[in-house]
Amino acid sequence: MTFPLWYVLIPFGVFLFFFLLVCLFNTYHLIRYADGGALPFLVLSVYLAGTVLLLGGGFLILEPLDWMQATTISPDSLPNFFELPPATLK
Amino acid sequence: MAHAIVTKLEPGETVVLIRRAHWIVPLKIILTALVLFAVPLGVYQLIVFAAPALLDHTVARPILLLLTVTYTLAVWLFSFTDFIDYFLDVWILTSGRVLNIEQHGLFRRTASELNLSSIQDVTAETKGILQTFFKFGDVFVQTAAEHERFHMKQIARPDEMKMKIMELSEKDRIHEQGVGTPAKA
Repeated sequence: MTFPLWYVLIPFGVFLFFFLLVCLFNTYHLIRYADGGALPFLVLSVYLAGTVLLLGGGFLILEPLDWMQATTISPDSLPNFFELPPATLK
Repeated sequence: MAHAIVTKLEPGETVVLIRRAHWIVPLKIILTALVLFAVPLGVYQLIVFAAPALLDHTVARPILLLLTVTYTLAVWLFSFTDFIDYFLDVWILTSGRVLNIEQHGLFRRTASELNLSSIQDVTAETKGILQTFFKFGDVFVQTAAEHERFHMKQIARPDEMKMKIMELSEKDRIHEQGVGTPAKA
């Protein structure tokens, strides 16, 4: 079976949607329910900064990869990654 | 400052204590997150040692990187959701009431209160080496109703909280009895 590699990005997109939704709820809870002191502001800032950093970093890691390449899955196409290199006799 | 959920204090009512769980609770969350964030590095070392060909493979490499990004985002998300769960759980002791505000996951939040005069029994429980050493534990507040019981989990200085509740409860009861007694002619 051959398919373009970007197909694996579909479940990632679903996860990303879930991730952003939960982020939104967490931000809402912090703004709505935490008292108005400096600590909730600090927590919110760290949370949003970390989220942006991780999303940005993830994008920078994944963006240069070739997601359009065709991928074939069959028993013959799977390489044995754990195969030891052939020993050379001297 | 009173917590945002305390919208209205009764006339003459003052906030005595505002407590969250002990700082060891968020510390545990942070340490767990750090360990979980380090897992991909361990897996990377394992791959370098056992199957280095995976890192150069045209299909395996993007999939591994995608899994790493997904995993890291998931650890961040669950750790922070856990932290917010801790951060938004607050116990407030006022001169007339005990308020218990709890966040349960994303969609459930409970805010309950007990009148100090209805409190029958307060128990402070510290168990284990960690709780004894760092002075934190649980406080159980029991009212006259059979099932009504507040459970303050992993609160800092539970004995102090217990003493304060008992003291204010006693004061409140005396005050109510004083108000309820008809004045002598």
